[in-house]
Amino acid sequence: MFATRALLGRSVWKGPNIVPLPLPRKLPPPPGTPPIKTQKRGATILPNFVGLKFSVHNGKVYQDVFITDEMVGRKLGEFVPTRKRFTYKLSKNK
Amino acid sequence: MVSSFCWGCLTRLPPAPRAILPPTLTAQRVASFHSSAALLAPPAKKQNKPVGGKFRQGNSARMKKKKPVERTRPPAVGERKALRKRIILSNPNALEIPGMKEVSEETMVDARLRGSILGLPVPMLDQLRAVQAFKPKQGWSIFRRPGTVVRRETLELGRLIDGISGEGEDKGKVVKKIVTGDRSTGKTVHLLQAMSMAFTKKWVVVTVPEPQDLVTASTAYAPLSDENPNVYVQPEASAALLSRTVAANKQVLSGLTVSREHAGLLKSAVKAGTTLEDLAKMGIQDPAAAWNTFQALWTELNATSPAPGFEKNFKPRPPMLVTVDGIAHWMKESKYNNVDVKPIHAHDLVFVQHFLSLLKPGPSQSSLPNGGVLLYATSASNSPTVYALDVVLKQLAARQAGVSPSSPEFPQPDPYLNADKRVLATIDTSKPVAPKEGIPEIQTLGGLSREEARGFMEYFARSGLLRENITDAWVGEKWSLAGGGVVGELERLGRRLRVTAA
Amino acid sequence: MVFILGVNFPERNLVKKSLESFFGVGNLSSTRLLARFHIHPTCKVGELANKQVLDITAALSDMKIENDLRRQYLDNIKRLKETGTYRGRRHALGLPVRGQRTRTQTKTANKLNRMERRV
Repeated sequence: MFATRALLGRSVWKGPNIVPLPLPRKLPPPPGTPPIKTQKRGATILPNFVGLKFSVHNGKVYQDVFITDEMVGRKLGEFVPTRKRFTYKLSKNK
Repeated sequence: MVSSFCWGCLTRLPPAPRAILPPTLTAQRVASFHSSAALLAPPAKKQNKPVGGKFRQGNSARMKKKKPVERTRPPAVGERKALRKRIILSNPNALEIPGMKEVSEETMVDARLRGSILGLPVPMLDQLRAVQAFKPKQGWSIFRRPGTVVRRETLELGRLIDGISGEGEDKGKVVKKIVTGDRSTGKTVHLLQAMSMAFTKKWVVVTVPEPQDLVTASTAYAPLSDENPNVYVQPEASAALLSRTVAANKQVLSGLTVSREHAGLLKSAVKAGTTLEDLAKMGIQDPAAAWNTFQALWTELNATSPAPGFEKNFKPRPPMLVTVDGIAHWMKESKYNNVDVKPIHAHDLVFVQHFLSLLKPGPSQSSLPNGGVLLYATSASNSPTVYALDVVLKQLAARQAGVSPSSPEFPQPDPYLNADKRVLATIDTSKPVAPKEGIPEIQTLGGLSREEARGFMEYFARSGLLRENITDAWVGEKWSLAGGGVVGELERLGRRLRVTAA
Repeated sequence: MVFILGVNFPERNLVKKSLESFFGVGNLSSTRLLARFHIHPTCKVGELANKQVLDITAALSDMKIENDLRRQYLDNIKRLKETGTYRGRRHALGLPVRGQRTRTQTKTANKLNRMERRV
């Protein structure tokens, strides 16, 4: 339902939601490295993610997100919409 | 199916005459003459149609357009307040009472007048208006001329004031009283009586008729000076105080001259021959200097001897009457904010501080060295609840009753109710330095006695407001109805009878 | 008429209300400003001393109000849109941003959330 839980005011004492993700050893990763596939939409984007490519699950498929500077502090799920815009399709079989 | 009795027999019965038939609910009850039109008229349509039409259909689809309301011009600024605060002191329709006595030097100590009504002298009315002694809704407007009933407390006060200005042993005494009492027991009128007596005796009268106005953050305020930024001065209110004092005591103040130099004022303006009236007027004209001027005026009025160089024309200062009507407003935090947006305590306003400090014994001399009376009244109708003040009043009453402060019966503030310490410290009953200075006392006003009530009701009757035979039984009834002779209630009874009799 | 921060106020207006007519000054900041310069809450603009007017103007010019604040406000929304967050998309689509229902009652969002939002 919620795209991000950041808006729900996470308690300060918990700190950011740090999720162990398989980050590449070498930074910046050499070209051709596959994006990091994850379902952890609630993971906070940390400064060391910048420049990496994530492949975040939207409930159906994995979508690629390239992390930039401005995204730090937000959640991975914020950049991958889970809902499709409704479009009316004319059906033939009435 | 056939019914068990014959319908034909019933129909052949002769019709009963209309008058015998009991009127049924459905029968149209119309007048006997020209009734045909009403009878022949088509049946009336149902009055209350179902609104809104079909089930769940909105019935507010068409809104009626509001007619533009015609607005008259609002009254000018200040007009409504002036109307609300208007004081009418005379009613030409009321009868004049022959032989009514006035407040004078003789009548104020005359014990035979107890229970009668003393009129206020007409020339004094302007002075009393200037100090705002009259309040609206006190019922002055139903009589021919303003007058007050002489009760026991009034006579005591009269004797006190007479003694202080006389040459006897009470000369120069300072009496400090806190006037309390239930609602409409005549606290404000008691102050008014004190003022009228003080004016008769040519005292200086300083009053604060509306203490609430000082703490509701409706007049300007500023820090007193750079040295003590936590004390605040209210220039406009101080100027108003000065103008009240000058207007009421013009005669006395114009006869007195300056007796010393004043640090807070311009030297060129205050010379040896300046009268106190002119001194005070400087403060009225310039509100920024009003507080300094008031302090100068205060020291002048309390001067016992002239400073060197000012001996010429020095006259001894008259005693003073200081009244405050409704001190409870001064016992809590005001609506003003300090720089840190915290409320300022009323005791941090220098105006309030000054008047409350008079309750304490003066540091080296009496707080009013020339003698005088302090009358600080509480109010029962318009007053905030201040727990600490209640405790203070109880303590005063206990002390007066002879309970020693160290005894266990002495009322102490409940430690859990967080009583305001500054309020608890306002009334200091330590032994004063000056011999003639009294410690604060509490005076509780109650109802009138029966004789006084009788005199009061007779006054109504003689003014033509009350058409009753004033007998002892009748007065006794009204006295009990008025909660044991509470003046305001008696007055209300007198008024109400006027309405029913008319 | 008295000039406060370049705006002309009639003398009969309350100082507090006049201050609150600036975008970004509400009840709290106007109360603070009044307390800082020792102005009582029922003071009229005409009663202000010259120095107080200057003080208020100086204090207001230090605050982030009016166009500066509007710009910041729009910049924040723009940043959300540019980074491609969910909130930015909702702003752009004219839908409620904070998880409200969209089946009914989205009047405010319809009105406010535009591509070119005006403040």
